[in-house]
Amino acid sequence: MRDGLEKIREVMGGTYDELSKSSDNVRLAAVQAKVDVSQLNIATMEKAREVTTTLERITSLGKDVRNDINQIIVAMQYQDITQQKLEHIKAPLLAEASECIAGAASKTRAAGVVAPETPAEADDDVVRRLRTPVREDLAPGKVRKVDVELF
Amino acid sequence: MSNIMIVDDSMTMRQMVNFTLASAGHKVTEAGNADEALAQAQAQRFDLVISDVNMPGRTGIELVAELRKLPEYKFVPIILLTTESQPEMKSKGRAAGATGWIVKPFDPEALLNVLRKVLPA
Repeated sequence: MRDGLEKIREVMGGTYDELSKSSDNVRLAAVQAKVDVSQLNIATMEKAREVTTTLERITSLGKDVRNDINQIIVAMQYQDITQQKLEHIKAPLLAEASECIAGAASKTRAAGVVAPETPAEADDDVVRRLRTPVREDLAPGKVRKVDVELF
Repeated sequence: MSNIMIVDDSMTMRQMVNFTLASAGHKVTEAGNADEALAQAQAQRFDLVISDVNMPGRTGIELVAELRKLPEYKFVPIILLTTESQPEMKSKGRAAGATGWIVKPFDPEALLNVLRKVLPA
């Protein structure tokens, strides 16, 4: 009977040791897992910060591109307005110029003088008109107050 | 998204306005003169009309007056977008029934701000 009890004690002791070892292993694994999760969290936060910075940079670039496009739109309008104004004055100016040249030619013919090669006085008026500066508020590159009115 | 018609004899100007409005998500229809605009306005209903003033044929102010005669355009916002800035011209536009007056060259942001104000929410 005593031998039987001794055997049971030995088996129980062995089992206890085994259980202790297993619990130590589980504890170590849990600690390692906790460390891994912490490292993963830190890496995720770092990546999130990088994504935020990149998004901010993209937003800022988007704003710059938008501003550039707006400036291009305004510049193209200046070009279009100037072209329309020139087209508007081109026909009358040409008509007036040919009239002046024809007049000058007939005068020189009447006076028996050969027409000079330099621009005649008659042409000066045309040249002067072409050199007239564009309205200051319509000059390209000029910062203009936006004129908007709602009735 | 709103359905907008832009009337201007200059193709460049129409393209600039179209680009600005389309970028903001609006549907844009272009017309090169007042007659074309009136035909388009009768073919479909626009939420807003933006028109130049000085155009060959009927002027933008005449177009406003014609559009206001149509029952479906009695209360539709009509903006005049022009190089003209004299008060007398503005008064004529207002009397014809225009909702607002923007002097060219327009700033795209300013144009979109005006649209936000005049378009129904």
